[in-house]
Amino acid sequence: MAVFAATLIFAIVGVFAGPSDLNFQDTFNGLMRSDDGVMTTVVWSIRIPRVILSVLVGASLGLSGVLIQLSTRSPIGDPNLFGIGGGAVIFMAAVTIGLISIPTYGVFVGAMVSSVIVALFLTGLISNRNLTPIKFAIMGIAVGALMISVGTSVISYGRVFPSQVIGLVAGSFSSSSWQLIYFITCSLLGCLFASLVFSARLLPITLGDDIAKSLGVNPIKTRVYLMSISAALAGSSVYAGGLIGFVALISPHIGRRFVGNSPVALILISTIIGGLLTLISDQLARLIFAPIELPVGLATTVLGAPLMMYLAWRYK
Amino acid sequence: MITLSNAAVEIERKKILQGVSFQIFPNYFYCLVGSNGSGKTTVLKLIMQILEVNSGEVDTIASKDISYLPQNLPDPPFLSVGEVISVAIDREIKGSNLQQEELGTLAEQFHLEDLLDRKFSDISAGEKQRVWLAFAIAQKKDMIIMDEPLSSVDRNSREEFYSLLKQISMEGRTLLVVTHDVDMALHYSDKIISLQDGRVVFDGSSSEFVA
Repeated sequence: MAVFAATLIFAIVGVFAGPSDLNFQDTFNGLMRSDDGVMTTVVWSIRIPRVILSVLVGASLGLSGVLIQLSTRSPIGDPNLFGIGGGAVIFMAAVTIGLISIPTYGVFVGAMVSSVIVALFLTGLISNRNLTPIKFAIMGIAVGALMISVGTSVISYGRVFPSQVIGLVAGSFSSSSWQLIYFITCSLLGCLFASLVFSARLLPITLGDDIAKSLGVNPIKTRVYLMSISAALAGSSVYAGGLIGFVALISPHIGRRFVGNSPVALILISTIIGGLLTLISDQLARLIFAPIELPVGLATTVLGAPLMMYLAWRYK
Repeated sequence: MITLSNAAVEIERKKILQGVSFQIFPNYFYCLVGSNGSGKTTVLKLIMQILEVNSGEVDTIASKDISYLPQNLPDPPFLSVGEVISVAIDREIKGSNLQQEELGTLAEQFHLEDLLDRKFSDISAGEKQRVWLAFAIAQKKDMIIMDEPLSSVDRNSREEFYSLLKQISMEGRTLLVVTHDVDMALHYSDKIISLQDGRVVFDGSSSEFVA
């Protein structure tokens, strides 16, 4: 309940507050489309899409995080920390500078596919070497750093505007649109459905590969499925909002405090909390130094980093 | 029934098993004994189809029909003790009341009542082994295979758990337990298979075993 109330409050803030010089009455009129002028445009084409998109992207990240953490058994699993989102960053960078030229939906699918490729590479590493979660996390962070530097190099090579670089590697919802919302809704619903289908396999995987096998769950196949879903979500989130750190990492940990480890409940709550955290972060990023906007990824990091330190402190 | 005939395994040019043959008949409590490096764990891996023989034959049952507890299990992250055991129960018993009841019974049998809400990674090594033991039993499978399941449990409790294992085998389940503990094997198991340097040196009734 509190989570829904908070979402609602921040959604209202998102619609009614902003750098444009609109008072409450103007905004309300815009919302009701009483004129079809500037206010309607600001409200319906800028503010509302942005609120919705931030929730959907955050939800994708929250879901992505719970899948990667359970399937790799790593409490610090985060697709953007481990370079899975980075795969999409490289692809998007190549598109931004014109190296790749394909229609919009192709870019959306391409971003997801690039992330899935990185995820399958990481999955191969765990399966071949039987990596411990710690070793896996270290390798993941190395891959993550590599992906971001390659992505940034590609975009620097193209000499595009710095704001585009920042939007991609630090996250931004400043170019939200209804089309983006349509894309993200499709990927989120599809992946949520797939996650629920596989939910009964999540806890057996968490108990380790040998135990999973004797519970009748094929650990290697299951990890490939779960990591691919997680990566598709991460790739779509990069497509819509750039690289946003920490949301995927902390949403499952916060969710677990409410519902424990029951897989279906944990999947749903992590998705919801991811959406809420990103909405709050984006509103803070947008309003705190208005009219100057901070990248949303900075706000999530400011919120997420201390939380992660606290979790690491508590973790045994 | 599980049959190994003349099974040989070589890993990196080292002969781990050399012509191992034995049979596991249903409803007996088997202990597999032998010194370090005698090939005990390798035998279990053959039965679980984690490893394959270089020569000889292994006739075994599907690994999903065996409740298998390997050695040195990694700690499951995130989960509480109760949640770990529930994963095994959930797959066998449907209906949350029955599940709770079963969890209560197992907790009592393995003295885990006070630990159910603790995080698995926070409890002691001996406690963890008791949780895994409860986990293996909770799966309600006819065949249970365990690799040194009680190495970190103190001697008094070990006796209690071996007698519990004996009781479980008498309820119509087959147990194959790898152990260093020849005393316990002699006292509680029905049959002993002893390995030395990758060969079977004894296979028979526990009462006839001479170390």
